[in-house]
Amino acid sequence: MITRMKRRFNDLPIRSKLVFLFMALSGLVLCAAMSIFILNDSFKYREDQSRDIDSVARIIARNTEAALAFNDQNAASETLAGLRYHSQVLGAYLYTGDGHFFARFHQLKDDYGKGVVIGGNRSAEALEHFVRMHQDGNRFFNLQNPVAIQEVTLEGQKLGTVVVVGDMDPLVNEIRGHLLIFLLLLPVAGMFTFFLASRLQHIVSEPVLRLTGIMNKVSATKDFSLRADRTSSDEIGSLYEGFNEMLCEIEERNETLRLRQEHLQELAHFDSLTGLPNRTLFHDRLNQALRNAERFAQNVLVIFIDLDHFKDINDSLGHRMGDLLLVEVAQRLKVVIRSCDTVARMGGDEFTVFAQNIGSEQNSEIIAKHLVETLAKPYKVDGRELFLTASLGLTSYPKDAGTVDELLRNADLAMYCAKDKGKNAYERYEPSMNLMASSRLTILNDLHHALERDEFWLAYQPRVDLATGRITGFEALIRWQHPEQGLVMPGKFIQLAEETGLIVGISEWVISTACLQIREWQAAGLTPAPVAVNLASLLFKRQVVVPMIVSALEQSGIEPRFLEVELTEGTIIAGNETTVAQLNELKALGIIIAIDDFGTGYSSLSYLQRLPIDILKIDKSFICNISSNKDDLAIVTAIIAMARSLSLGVVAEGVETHDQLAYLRTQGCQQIQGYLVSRPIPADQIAALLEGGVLLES
Amino acid sequence: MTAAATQLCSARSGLFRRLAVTCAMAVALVTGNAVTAADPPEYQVKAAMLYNVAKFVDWQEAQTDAPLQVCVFGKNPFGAALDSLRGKVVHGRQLNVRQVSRPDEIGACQILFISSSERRSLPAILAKGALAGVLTVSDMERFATTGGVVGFVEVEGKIRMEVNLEAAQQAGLKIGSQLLKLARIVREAGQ
Repeated sequence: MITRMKRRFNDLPIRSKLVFLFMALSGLVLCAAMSIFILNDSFKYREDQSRDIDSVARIIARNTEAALAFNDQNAASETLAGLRYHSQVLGAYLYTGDGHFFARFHQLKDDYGKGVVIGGNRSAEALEHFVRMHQDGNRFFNLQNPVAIQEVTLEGQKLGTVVVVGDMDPLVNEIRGHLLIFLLLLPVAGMFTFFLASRLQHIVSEPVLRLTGIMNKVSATKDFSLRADRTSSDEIGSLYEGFNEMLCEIEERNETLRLRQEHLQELAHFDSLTGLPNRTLFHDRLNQALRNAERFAQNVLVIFIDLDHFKDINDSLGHRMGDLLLVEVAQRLKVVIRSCDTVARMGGDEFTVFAQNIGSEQNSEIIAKHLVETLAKPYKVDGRELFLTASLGLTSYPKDAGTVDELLRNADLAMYCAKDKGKNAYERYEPSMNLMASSRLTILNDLHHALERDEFWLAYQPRVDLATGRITGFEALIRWQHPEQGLVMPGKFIQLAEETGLIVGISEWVISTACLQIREWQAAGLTPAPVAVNLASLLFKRQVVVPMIVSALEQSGIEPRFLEVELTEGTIIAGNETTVAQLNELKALGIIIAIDDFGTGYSSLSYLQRLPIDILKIDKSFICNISSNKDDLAIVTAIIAMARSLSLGVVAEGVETHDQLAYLRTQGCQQIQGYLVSRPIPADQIAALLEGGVLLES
Repeated sequence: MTAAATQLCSARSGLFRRLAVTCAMAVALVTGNAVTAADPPEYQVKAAMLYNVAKFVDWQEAQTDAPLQVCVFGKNPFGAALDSLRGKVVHGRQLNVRQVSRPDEIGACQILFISSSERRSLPAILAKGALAGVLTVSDMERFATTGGVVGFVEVEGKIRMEVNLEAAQQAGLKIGSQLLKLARIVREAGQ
C-alpha cells in the first residue's frame, strides 16, 4: 500500500510534488501547533484550576474548624454553601477526622455529576476515591476534574478532611471551541497554502522544467548546438552547466565521428599511398561502366598492369623507394588515361585500368602500347635514376567476358602470359590462357605434395676443363616426375616454388640428395668432382642456407670441397649484409661459391671484390650468339678477362656447338658446360662418365 | 478525678460493664474525635465544648506559657470528665483544671465554669470587678443574658452556645468569628 503510494508520488510531476510537500508540511505544522496549543492550554488551565481549588479547600478548612469541632453540620453546610458563587468548584465535601461524611455542597449544573457522585459520597470509600483522584491529578494530560484535599486541623488536632472538586467543563468547552476554529481554519489555511505553493514552486521547478524542455527539444531535433541559459549558481545552475558541457561534448564527438567516417569512406574506396581508387571502388565503377556499355552497345577495355621485378627494387632499395616509385607510376597512369576512365591500385605493384567506348581492337592496342612505353621510361626518384618495366594483360567487354570478376581474371591471366613471354610487354586475353592458368593451379597444388611423394629426382650436368677435357664438376638440376603430366622441367615450377616458399623444403632436399650422391660415388670408388646446387634468394633472406648445408654435410659425411653453391646476381642485389655474412660462412666451411647467369644483372661489379666468390658462370644467352654477335663476344671476352684478373674460375654455360667452343678456346675460357659436353643425366649414368674421365678432345 | 467520673457513670447506669464502655467513650470525646457516636453523657460533651471554646478565644494577654487555669466554681458537675482536659494544650498553654470556692480566687482563672449550684451568688461573681481576663462559662439558664460570656443551652436536644459579646469585651476577651458563627449572640437583659 505504502509502496504503491510512494510509487504514485514518484510519478507525479515535480510541480505537484512540491505543492503536495508544501501543503503536507503546512498541515503538519498547523496540527502540531494546535496540539501544543491545546496541551499547553489544558495544562495551564488544570494548574490554575488545581491551585484555585487548593486555596478554596484551604479556606473551607479554615472556616469549618469550629463547625467540625462543635459537630455543627448545619454550620458546615452553610460554610460550604458559600461556594455557590465559585463557578470553578463543582462540589465540596467535608469528612470527619475518622473519614465519616459530614457535610457537602454541589454546584447546581445541568450536566453535573461526571465522576463526582459516588455512592452519595456518604461513605468512607468516597473519600478514598477522592484521594485517588487527587493523586491521578498529577498525570500529564488529564481532563478529569481536579480534586483538592485539605485536612482540617485545629491546635494540632485533625478534625476532618475537605474535598473540593474543580470543574473541567470550561476547559473541555474551550478545547472544543479551539478544535472547531481549527477545523474551520484548516481548509482556509489549506487553500492559502495551495495558492502560495502553486506560486512559489516555480522558483524551484521552473529551471528544471526549462532544462527538461531544452532536453526534449534536443532529443527531438537532434540539434546539439542548443544551449541552456544558466540563471542561478546553485545545484540547478551546475546542472545547466553540466548539461551544456555534455551537449558540447556530444557536438565535438559528432564532429569527430563525421570526420572519421569521411576518412573511413576514403580509406574504404581509395588507396592511401597513391590516392588512386582501390579495388572496391574500381569494382564498383567498372560495374557501372559495364551497365552503361550494355545500354549503349559499347565496349570496355580492361587492363591489368603488374610491374616487373618490383620486388627486387623493394628488396634492394627499401620500401620507401618502392613506395615513391609506386606513387610515380600512379601519377603516370593518371596522366595517360582519359578523365572518364578509371585507374586503380589493386594492391602491391598491381594496377588496373578500364577505358570505355574504345571502339576497334586497334585502339586498345594503341592504348596498351602507350602504357607500356610510358611506364618503361626511366624514373627519377629521390635523386636516383631507376628503370622499371611493366607487363600488361588486356581483355575487353563484351567480347571476352560479361562480368567484372571475369574481366579481371582474364586480364590477370593475360598479364601472366606477358610476363612469361619476357615482360615489358602486353598480351591480349585468349581463351586458351585459361588452360594455362588451370595447369598452373594444378602444378601448384601438386607441388605441395611432390616432396612427400618423393617425385623429385636430380639430373647432373657435367662441366669440363677445356685444357684437359676432364670433368671438373657437375651442376645438380632438379626434375619432377609428375604422376600425370610426366617429367616437369624446373622452369615450370621453380618460380612457383619461390613465390610460395616451397623452395626452402625443395632446396633442402636437393642439397642433402646431392651430398648423399657424392658419398655414394666415393663409396663406389669413383674419383668424384664437386657438385653444384642452385640456391634461391629466399633461402638467404630466411638465413637457412648455412644450417641446411652444415646438416647435409654432417649427414653425408663428405668433405665440403665437393659441394658448390650457385646463386644469381639478383640474389646478391636483393640481399644485404646478412647475405654477405652467410656467403662468408659458407666460404669458411670450404664450400665453392659460383655466380650463376653472370652478365644479366643490373648491378655494378664491385661486389665481385667484396664477396668470397670462386667461379663465374657466363649466362648462356651470351654464349648462344657468340659466333654471330660481336657485342656478346665482347661481353664474354670481358668477363673472361675480368675473371682471370680477379683470379676467379670461369665457366661458359649452354655451349652447344663446336663454333662456340672454338671461340671460347680462343678467348681462354677455362671450363664449359652444355649439350656439347653432355645433357643433364641421371645419377646412375654418371659413373660411366667418371670412369671414362675425358669427355672432350682437346 | 478519675474516681469521680467513675462515680458519675455508675450513678447514671448502675451497671459496671456499661459504665466502663461509656467512660472510654467519654475520653474519646474529650480527645476531640467525632461526635456522631451514641449520645454521650451531657457533661462529657460540655467538657469537650469547654475545651473547644478555649481554642477560639483570645485572652489578649502578653505571650506566656503559664498554664491556662480552668476553674470550676461551685459544685463540680463534670465529675471525672474534666480531668481529661488536664495537660491538654491550647494556644501553647497547658490546661490546668482546679476547683475554686471563694470569689477572690476567681481572678487567677482564665476559664471559669460556674456551676448551676451557684446561681444565687452569680450576680455577685459577675459584678466582681476582678473578672478581667476571665472567660465565664456556665450551663445555667440565661447565663449570657445575665452577664456571663458563654452559656451552654440545649436546643432541640443538642447543646448550643450563647455568647454575650459585651461581657466578653468587658472581660477583655476576643471571641473567634467561627465560634460566633456557631453561637447565638445575646445581650444583657434590661439593657
